Amino acid sequence: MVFLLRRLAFYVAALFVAITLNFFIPRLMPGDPSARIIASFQGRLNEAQVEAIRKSYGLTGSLWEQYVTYLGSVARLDFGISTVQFPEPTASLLFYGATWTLVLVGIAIFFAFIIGSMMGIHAAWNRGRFFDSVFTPINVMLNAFTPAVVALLLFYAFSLQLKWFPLGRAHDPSLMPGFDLQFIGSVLYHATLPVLSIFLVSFGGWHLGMRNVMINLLNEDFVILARAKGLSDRRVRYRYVARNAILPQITSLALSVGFLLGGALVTEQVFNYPGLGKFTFTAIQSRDFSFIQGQLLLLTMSVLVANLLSDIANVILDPRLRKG
Amino acid sequence: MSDIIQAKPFSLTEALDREAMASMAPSQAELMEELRVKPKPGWTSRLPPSLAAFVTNPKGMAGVVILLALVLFSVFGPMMSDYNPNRRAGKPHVAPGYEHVLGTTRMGKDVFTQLAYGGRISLTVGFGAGIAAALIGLAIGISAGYFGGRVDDVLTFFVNVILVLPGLPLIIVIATLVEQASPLVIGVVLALTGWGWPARTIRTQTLTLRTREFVLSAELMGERKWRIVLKEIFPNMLSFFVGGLVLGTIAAILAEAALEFIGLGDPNAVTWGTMLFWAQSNMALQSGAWWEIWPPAFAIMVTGAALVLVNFAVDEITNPQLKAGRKISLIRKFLKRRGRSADVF
Amino acid sequence: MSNLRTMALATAGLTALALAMPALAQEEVILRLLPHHTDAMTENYNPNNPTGPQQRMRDFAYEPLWIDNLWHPGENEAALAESFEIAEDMLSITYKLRQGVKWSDGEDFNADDVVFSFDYAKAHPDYPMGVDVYNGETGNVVSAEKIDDHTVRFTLNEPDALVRYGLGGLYPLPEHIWKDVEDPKNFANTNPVATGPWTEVRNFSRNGFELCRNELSRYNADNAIDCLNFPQMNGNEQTVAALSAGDLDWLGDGLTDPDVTFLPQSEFNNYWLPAGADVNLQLNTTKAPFDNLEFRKAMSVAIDRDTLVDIATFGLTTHTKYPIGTGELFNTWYEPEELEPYAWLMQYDPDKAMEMLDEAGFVDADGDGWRDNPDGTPIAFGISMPSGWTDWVNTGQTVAENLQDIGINASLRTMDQGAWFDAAPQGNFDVYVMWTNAGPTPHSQYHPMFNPRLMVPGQIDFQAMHQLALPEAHELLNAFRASPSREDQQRLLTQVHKLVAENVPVISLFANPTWYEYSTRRFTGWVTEENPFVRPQVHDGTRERVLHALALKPIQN
Repeated sequence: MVFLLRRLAFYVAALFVAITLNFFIPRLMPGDPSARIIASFQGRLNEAQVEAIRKSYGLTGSLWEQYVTYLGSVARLDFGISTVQFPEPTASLLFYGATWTLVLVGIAIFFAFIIGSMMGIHAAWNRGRFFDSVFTPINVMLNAFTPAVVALLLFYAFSLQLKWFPLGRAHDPSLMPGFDLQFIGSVLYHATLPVLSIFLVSFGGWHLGMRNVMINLLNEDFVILARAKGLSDRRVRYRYVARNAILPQITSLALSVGFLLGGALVTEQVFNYPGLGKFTFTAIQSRDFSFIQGQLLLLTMSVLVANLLSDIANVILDPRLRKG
Repeated sequence: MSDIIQAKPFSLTEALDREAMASMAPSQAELMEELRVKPKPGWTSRLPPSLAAFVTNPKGMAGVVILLALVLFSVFGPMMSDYNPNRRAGKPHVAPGYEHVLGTTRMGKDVFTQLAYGGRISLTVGFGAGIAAALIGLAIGISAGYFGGRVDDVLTFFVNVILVLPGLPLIIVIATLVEQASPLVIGVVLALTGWGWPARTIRTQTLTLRTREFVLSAELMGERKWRIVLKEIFPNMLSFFVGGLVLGTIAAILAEAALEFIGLGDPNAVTWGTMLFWAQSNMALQSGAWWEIWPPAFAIMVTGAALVLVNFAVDEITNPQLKAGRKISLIRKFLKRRGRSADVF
Repeated sequence: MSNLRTMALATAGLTALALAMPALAQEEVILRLLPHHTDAMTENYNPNNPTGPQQRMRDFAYEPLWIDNLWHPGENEAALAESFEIAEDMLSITYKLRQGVKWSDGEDFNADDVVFSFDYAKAHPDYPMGVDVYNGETGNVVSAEKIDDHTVRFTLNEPDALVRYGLGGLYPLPEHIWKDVEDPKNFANTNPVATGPWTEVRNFSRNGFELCRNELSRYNADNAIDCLNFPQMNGNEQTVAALSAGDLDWLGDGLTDPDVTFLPQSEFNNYWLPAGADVNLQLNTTKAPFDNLEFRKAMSVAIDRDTLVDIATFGLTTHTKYPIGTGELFNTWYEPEELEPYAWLMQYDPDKAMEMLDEAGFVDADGDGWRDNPDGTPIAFGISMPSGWTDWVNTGQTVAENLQDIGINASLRTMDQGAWFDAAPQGNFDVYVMWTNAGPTPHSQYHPMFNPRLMVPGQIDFQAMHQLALPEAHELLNAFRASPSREDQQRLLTQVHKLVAENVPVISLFANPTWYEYSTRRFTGWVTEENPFVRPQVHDGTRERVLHALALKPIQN
């Protein structure tokens, strides 16, 4: 309990620092949405109108006042209104984008974690044999291929050339969202390539992580004991070794949530997928401050929540922590 | 990425070698042949142990050789070309051939020349940011781990905040703060946001080292703290530092490529990332000009792969049990042939 | 029709969705067009909201007073007004409104709505309705008054022969709806009431919506299209692929190598890129070396425009003949015999440029390989460009190379587009690449270019960034505006042209293409090079686009 409370205190403090940074960093960006809007009129506005528009999009009050207002609205979970997708509340856009990013990243992490870890277990158990010496390096090297390249090549080959997969969107636009087979099928179909490109560059990390931790555990006393007791190979492998090896994996999974959510930006950009990253990119270009802030905050919070969950999981899986 | 776990000083191969020697009679030379143990210690035995371990590691050496080749290519490649990477050198989208070894871009620039020049910048930014991040991580990790107490609390807090902040989106926002995100700016931003992981690993390692005898004895002898840090702790951190450096470099090279690819870099700069950006904006693939997109993509992938190989070697040095895996199949065969159970491994 | 639906009902599949779709698809003619890229569709149908809704709601749903058919003045022009008359003294203009027009909710459209709309624009300057309202300092239209139910007179502050172009673009709002809207800028207008051919919103989702036939529209007899479909899309690969696959009919996106990347994608793909407005280099003439006329002229001569047109912009742009800041779009206003003496400024001649610079004292004084100002200070400047605007970045790179070739230390400086837009009004820059305004007459380009009010740092217009005050040009342009006859206007404009050519406040580069792509898979009747009956763009600002849409007929299979 003490352990969890300590962690909780950290999360609250970290959240506050992150909220503050998320407020100030976008403010330092030059420009506001008005210049772009005025430009779109190509001289059809007179001086008074230009002035009025500039004023109406400008930010009012001192930085300190804005900060206090911002803290207040964050506390109320009020993210303001998007200036680019007017008059959509930022929260609903964030929710929309985050849903699709979660679909992509969620499916990709799920498969990458499971398949990567299974391969890692297999490689550790058979270390030095063919599978380990060939697939371990290859999988990890895939990990070092930039998502930009992998996404681009998949997009080009399967969407543009072979036309097996659609270009962009999260689902067939003629379908109304709902929990029917047709809609879910369409979502999966549209998500295939983006998920594949995230999967390809991420499962190697889980493979290597699992393999290394497993190898270290294989010579621990409890494993040797379990073997000496004559327990089945399978049982030792999964119940004894893998179960313990999964803990550090879960911790790194939690820490990589932010990295993955943010990193999906490139994939979403290439595949025109309406996720958080795609919206963020547009928001940055058109200086949609409320969206940028909301998005940074959302990512920070999701990392913190993921970490908290991993702490809880650690406490449950590792009895030693319950005392400390 | 990979969790580096402190291992007990134990070498499986050594133990086995001894056992094998003792229990069986065939000629020693044969046995050594079968287990591929060299009869005489090679030149590597004269090197410091950690370096020797690295040099004898085939994966690591392969990575180093590839990296060296890339560096040599970027250093000397431009000299083999008469073209200016920033200038038009021929007609748009000329296919690879005698005049242009790797063809030309849509704007008529020579791809080979760009690839070589781009390598200079991309590798410099990647390694620069990787080294800088690893150095910051080293300083903060050792300080937090060694001094402990309040210092540790404060530093650990910042390490965790850095780890928690959303990386790429934040970098994008920062990149737009400065008007032109030149490779240098990107490198600095990546260094400033990338030190969380190495700091965390190194802090954990320092914590375990702090209670070791040699550190305690140095303290008892009244050594100054900073001397202890430099003389006793730092040398033991070297491999973790290198590990952090390698991973940081991979991350920096990938992030730089990603930033430039989505158009936030400086399109004037010739780097592998901007080459990809231009190829994508000018629809090189759709126009069939594969030679505009493959060379930079391939260069980034090879660099990443080489760094991964180096990281394997570093992992095996910091964690000898991983290395044991390499010889284990030989040992298995060895034991099996002699009718002994190979199950212990 | 009901039979058809029953049959469809009887034979179609299992879900309600699957039942409805084939039935509708067989009956209705839907034109799918993309005037605006977006990441998600928003439920906002405000015709004067510039962040997207305006692109979809103007012309198709909300009609203007007048549609200027710029390519064929005098043809198909009337919209909500049937005729107009400019007073002798040019201090007022009277519109005769069309009789019998109804708003889509059944209310009558009449003079009250027009007067209301003008007063509304006046009361909400931050709500850009595009009317040049006089506010005591700037603007020109003072008031609107109702003469009778179908006659409105607008009073002006100064004589203005061009006011018809501005006021013609007023999109009247229904008074009975909007009189209760306090904050129009933030009003989403979720239930649009308008007079145009398509006003009924249907099937809204994040992925798009349909704008369907207004049963009360006067166009219904000739209108073959039941609904307009505005899909959500973002990104050129996606739009080009959609057009090729038959998921989109009408598009206006930038293309790269269209003969390789676009035409082969589908036999129905077509494009036509008539010359649009020009692109200029804006030089900051408040700074050395741009304050020196010879330097500006040498720059103009040093630029290799053939490379710009053929390579940097993929051969899709059009050469500009004279160094007058405007190009092919206004070629009917050229007086070649007057402008020919300046044509050399558009010819690539680096040797001449170097000669001119040497003569003007721009030589390499400190021996660093780059030319310096006559007073010895070094010259080094950046050409600012939003990153990601590929063809412009190519252009800027080529220009920088051309200047480097004659010893000028120029470089391309790209920045994030937000920063680029934001820096323009501050006037704190060296060189910007800048579009020019399309419009009914060259006045819409030259007026902001030489209006001294638009050269004040902090409020500098995109066209006035050069900040070279030419009071004479400003006077001539005011006289142009006050001249009712084309001959007088021509005479005055030629003088403006000559002033620009002599003073080189901006350097003309080329004319941008007008982006227009279409698919002949499902519709015929498109504007083509052979039959250019209206300007073909799908974007807002082209009021003729509704005429284009109405001219399309579905292809029967």
